[in-house]
Amino acid sequence: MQNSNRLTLYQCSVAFAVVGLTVLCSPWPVPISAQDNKRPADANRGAVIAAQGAAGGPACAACHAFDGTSDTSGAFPRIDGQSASYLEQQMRDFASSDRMNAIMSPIAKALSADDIADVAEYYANRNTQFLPLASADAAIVKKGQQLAQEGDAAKGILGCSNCHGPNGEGMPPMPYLAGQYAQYITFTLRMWKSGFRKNSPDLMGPIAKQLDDHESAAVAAYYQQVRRPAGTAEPSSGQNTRK
Amino acid sequence: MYNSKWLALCHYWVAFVVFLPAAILGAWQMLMRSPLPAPLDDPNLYYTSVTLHGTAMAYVVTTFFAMGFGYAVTATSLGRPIKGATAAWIGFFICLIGTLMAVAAILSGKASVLYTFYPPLLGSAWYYSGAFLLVGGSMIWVVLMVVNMAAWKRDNPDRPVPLAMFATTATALLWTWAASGVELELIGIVLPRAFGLTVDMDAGLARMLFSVTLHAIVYFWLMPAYIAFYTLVPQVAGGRLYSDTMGRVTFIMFLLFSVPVGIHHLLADPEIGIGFKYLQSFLTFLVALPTLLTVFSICASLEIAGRHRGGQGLLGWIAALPWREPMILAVGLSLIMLGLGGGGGLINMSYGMNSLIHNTAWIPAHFHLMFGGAVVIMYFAIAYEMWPRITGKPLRSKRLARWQLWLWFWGMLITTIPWHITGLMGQPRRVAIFDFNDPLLAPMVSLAILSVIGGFILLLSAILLVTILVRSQIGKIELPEPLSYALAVNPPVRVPKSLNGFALWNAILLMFMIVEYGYPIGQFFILKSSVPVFEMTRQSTAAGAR
Amino acid sequence: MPNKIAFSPDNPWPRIGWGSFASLVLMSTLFGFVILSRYQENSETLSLFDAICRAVGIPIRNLQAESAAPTLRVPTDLAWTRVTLDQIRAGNVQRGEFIALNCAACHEGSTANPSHLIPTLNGMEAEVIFKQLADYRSRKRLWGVMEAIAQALTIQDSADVAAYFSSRTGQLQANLPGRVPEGGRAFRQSDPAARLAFAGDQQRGIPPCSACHGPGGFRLGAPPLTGQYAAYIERQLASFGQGIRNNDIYEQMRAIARQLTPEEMKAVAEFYGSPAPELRTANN
Repeated sequence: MQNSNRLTLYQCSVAFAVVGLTVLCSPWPVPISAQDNKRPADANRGAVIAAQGAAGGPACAACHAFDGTSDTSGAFPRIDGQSASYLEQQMRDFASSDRMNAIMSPIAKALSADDIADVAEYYANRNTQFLPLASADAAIVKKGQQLAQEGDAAKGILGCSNCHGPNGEGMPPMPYLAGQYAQYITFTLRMWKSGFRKNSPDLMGPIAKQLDDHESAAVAAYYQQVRRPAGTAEPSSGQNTRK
Repeated sequence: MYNSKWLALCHYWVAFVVFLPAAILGAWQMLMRSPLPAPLDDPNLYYTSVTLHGTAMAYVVTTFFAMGFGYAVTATSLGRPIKGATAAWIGFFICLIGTLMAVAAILSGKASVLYTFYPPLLGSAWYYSGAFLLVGGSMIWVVLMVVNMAAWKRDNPDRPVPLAMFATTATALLWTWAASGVELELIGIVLPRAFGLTVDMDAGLARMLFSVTLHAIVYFWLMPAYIAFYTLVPQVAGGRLYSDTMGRVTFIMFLLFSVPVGIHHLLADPEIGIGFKYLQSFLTFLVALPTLLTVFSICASLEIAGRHRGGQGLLGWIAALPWREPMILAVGLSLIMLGLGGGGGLINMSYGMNSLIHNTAWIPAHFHLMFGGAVVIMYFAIAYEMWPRITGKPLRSKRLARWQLWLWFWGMLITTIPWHITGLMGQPRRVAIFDFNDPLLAPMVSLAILSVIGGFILLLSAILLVTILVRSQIGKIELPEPLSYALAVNPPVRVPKSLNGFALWNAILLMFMIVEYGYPIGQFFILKSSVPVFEMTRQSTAAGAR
Repeated sequence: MPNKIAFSPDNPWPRIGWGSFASLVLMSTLFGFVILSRYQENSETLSLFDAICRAVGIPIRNLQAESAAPTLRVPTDLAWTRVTLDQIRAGNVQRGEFIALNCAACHEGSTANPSHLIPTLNGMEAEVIFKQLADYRSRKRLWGVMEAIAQALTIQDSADVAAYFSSRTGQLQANLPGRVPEGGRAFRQSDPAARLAFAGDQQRGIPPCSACHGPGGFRLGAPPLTGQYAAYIERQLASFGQGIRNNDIYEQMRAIARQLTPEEMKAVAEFYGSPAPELRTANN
């Protein structure tokens, strides 16, 4: 026999549902990561850091040039117009030794997260013209183009453009390759191969290990002379990447 | 000669056998530096040669000669066999082995560091070990001299030690003090680095320690000559020694004033305070005093002899002296060279004038004239006296001996006087090759050639010397008169204790050393003056070896 | 000791000896440490304490300079002390190899270095590399990217890299002391490059290059030149000559390079820089 003072099961369920939904739909102060609510990156401050250095370290511009083109030796990568998120990620990886480099690691460790964000923002917004560099033998470039666009089925390697963009212009989180110095591309592939660079072990590692010296050189020669179409600089909003 | 005969002879032979090749090297060096063409025209060879010539003449010839002479004097002046002859032979062999090690190392080209070692140059460890054995082995000789003199005094209480023995013991003590510098340098600094036990060396301290040796050693070389002056020359002249006491005082003054004055060899070095340079220069002027006393004594003794032989008038006694005797001729020639060289020495010890001739050719010219001239010519004369006594075979020809001495005298003057002048003109020392086409050097051409001529005259004289000694070794036996020492005009019956022993003088010398060298050496234990070495025996870094 | 305390009329010598000692020491000390040290013609009269300090060789604190001192520029922060040598010796070749991955692009790659203005480092002496990195780090030497790179490297890194390069073999010939190949004939060379390299030039006060840079000579911190790129050598000589490069201790290289003509710089550079340097024999 039901008492009129006691709530029926039906009433309890409804009340519970109403309360629960109200609670769930309220704006809870959810703990957010720094990424989602970080201060906007300041490219002007980044320019100052690039020119003068920060935390007692050397200035970025000393090696990478103020416009991001570095010197053309290929010892240092071209970073103008590179996606800001990619640049930030690399600096974090240098600092944590997922990417080991005797020169960049101490520099990255010394910079704060704000410094890194600002500098990345600065260089991401640079868009410097490409100077004509000596190009390699046409046959090598052609081979490089083939590898870049089609890959190597026999070795089970996808074409580079699958990840790095049809013209090598990059698809975040993968960096652009168009116009990157051949010497640097070769060097980086070697770093992947030897395990000194470990911040994409499941992707770039196996690929690099499959490429021999000729193929690395061909791909590098091809990409050095590819020109990035104008206006394809990456927006500065950062999405959290893997890790 | 009791039991000293073979000891003395072996020591002398090592000295003169090393002397002749070293003289050949010297002549070659003069030729190399001159405008004339020289065989084996290579600066590396020049520095090897300078090291060998320097080590041989400055360490080997002198030390062996002094030791041999010391043993001979001990036996003959004390009139009894030497105590500790076995130890003496052991010392001889240690010195000989050290000599052979050093010579081999130099000839291998790995020890062209010159006989002053010149830290932070670093040569082969064999060279330094050899030098250490040579100097260390001679300490046995020192101990024996002291022991023999002490034993004689015990057996002859209240009698004065014969002047020759007294002076020889003074020489031995002087050598101990002098050698302490180079030995400490070797043990403490150079040898550890040479054997790789340390990484670098304290060049300042090494130079300071070596300076203790550097001046005192020239008096160690000088003393046998002066012993001959005082004890042999008057006898040969047919007279007496002017004053025995003056002789003793002279040798004591040498002991006192030649050791704590080494910094005057470092007047251009920055690591010493100017006050200490002054202190030691002040004392250095006093070391001229015993030489002046000696010159006076010897001239006085010779005057006594001359007048005794019938010389009349103010200077007539000079002509009356027996110039036919090699010993007397040697004295005369030696005193001339002593005067010239001594004047140069006064210039070297004066800070201001030293700056003028520092590191120029004046320096080797000076010490060749002084040591190679005044002192070594007396060594020859002593050898001419000693050989007959030891071998029992007299000199075959005193005339040849006189020729040899005259050739040495003129050769030395012709070599060194132009050399002094080129030094004043600014020619640097220790340089192998000069470009005489340069207008700055053109005036030196004739002077350099003169020095070469002098050098070859000296070489001829050296060959003559060895010839004479060899002939004396293999001639027929006639028993010569035994070695006797000059009597003084007033032979001492009793001398004060302090003129019969060295305890007082060693104590005073110790105090001098503390005052003069205490801080200059001590400062290096506070200053940081270690420098990396300049290795002559360096291995390639590329091979990974270091 | 009986002699010392026997101050008896019999034996006046202890008195004479010690008396002379005392008076000599007193007189010389008075003159050397007090009088002469205080009153010098070319400086102000010092206080007694300062005078004694000056004589002993301790620097005086408050001595005023007579004239304004010129601005001092220290050419390098590195000195060849035991500490420095120990640091260099502590270099690890394996670690250096890893660090040197970054160096190869410019120092070994021909694509990056077609003009050969960047030197080859294989077989270079460890001390040389260490010093130059130290100079780049302290900005005493400037060249494009090198200051930044040197700043990123620690002292241990520099030592490691130096050890690595010195263990490699390349076109550089090691500097070993030995016979100077030209020996005594150097002065009679008519080839100006060989003459400069082996005999120097006395009138200009130029020592022979080979005395420090080889072949046959050696000096701590002087790089071996035989086999180095000629363009690099020539460029550095020009830099020294104009004072643009000024990290040489005691201005040794500047004093030499200042006096060389451009033709001589080129000739010497080519003399050293040929890949298989033919050490030209005497012309006689």
